[in-house]
Amino acid sequence: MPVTPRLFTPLTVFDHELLPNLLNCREPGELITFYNVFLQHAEPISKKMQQNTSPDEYVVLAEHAHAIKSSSYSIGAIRLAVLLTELEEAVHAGNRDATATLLRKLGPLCELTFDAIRQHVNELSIR
Amino acid sequence: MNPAQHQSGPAAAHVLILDDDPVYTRILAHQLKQHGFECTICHKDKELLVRLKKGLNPDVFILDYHLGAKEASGLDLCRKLRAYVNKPVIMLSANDSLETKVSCLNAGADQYIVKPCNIAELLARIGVVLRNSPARVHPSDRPPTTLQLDDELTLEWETGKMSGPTGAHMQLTDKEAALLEVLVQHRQSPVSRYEAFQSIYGFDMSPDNRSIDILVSRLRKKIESVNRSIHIKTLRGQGYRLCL
Repeated sequence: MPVTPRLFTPLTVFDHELLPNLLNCREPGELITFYNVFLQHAEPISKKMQQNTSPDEYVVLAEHAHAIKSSSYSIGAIRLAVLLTELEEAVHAGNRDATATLLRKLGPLCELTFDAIRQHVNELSIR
Repeated sequence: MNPAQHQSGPAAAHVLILDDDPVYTRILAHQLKQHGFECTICHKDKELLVRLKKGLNPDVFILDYHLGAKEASGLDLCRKLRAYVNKPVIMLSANDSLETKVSCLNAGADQYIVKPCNIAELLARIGVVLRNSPARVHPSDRPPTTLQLDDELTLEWETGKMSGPTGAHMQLTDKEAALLEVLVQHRQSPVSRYEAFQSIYGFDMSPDNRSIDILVSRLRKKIESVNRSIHIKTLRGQGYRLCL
C-alpha cells in the first residue's frame, strides 16, 4: 500500500499560494477580502470549539469542526484543516481520548494559523 | 461548448450554490463566474425557499450535503428540488461514504462530488447535467414551491399540506411528504422500497424493515381522502408507483 506523504511531511500551517491558485487571481484587494471573510467566520467558531471540552459537547464540537473544515482547506490553512478533519472523525468514531488530545492542540494551532493569515493580509495590504 | 452556455439560449447558465460555509461558497462562485456562469449563493434552506418563491429560476443547483444541525439536510433538499423544481442537482460533500452517495443519487441528485473538488471536474459535471437537462419553464400560475400532482391535487413544500378538489386538504408528515416526492420523481417507473428508503432516510435499509410499507399505507389513505383519482399502485417484486 502506498505511504501517504502526510505521515512524514510536516504540514504547512498556512500555504500563501493555495488561495491565489484556486481563484486564479493575484489581486491583493480580492485576496484580502477572502482572508478576512475566513477570519470572521472561523475565529468565533474555533473559540466556541475550545469551550466544548466536555465529552457531552463532542457532537457540537464535530458540527463546528465540519463548519470550518472546507474553508480552512480552501484558504490554505492546511494543518488546521487536517486537525479539524481528524477531530470530526474522532468524535464520529466515539474515540474520546483522541478527541481530547486533538482538542488540546486546537487552541495553539488556531492562534498560529490566524496570526499567519493576519500577517499575510498585512503584507498584501502594503503591496 | 462552454459549460456556462445552457442549451436553452445564449445567456450564461445560472448556478445556485447552497452551502453554509461563507468562504467556500465565495470561492466557488468566484471560480464559476470566471468561467462565465451567473451565481447565486444561499447559506440556509429558508433563504433558498424565499428566493424560489420570489421567482429565482436557476439552471442548476449545487447543494452541500451537510448544512448544519439546525438546517434541513442536503438529502431532503435534493429530493424536494427534484420533485418541485425539477432542475439538475449536484451534491457537493466532504462525505465520501458509498451509502451517502447512493442515497443522494436515489433522491434525485444528478451528480455527487466529494470536496475539496477540482474546478475542472465541477465544470465538466455541470456541463454534463446541463446537456442532459431540457429547458423547463414553470407554469406561471403557481409558485415553484407548490407541487402540482394533477389538475386538482397539490402539495406545499413548507407546510406539507396536500390540497384536493373542492378545498379538501390533508396534512402530511415530513416522511409522508418525502415519500410522495420520491413517487413523483419516479412517475415513469416503479420505485423499489430500498430506493425509497435511501432517498428519505439517507442510509441502507435492512431487508426486514417495513417503514416504507407503513408509510405507503398511511399516504394512500390520506391521498384517497382528498382525491380518489390518484393512487399508489403496488407492483409485485418491483415496488410502488404513483398512478395519476
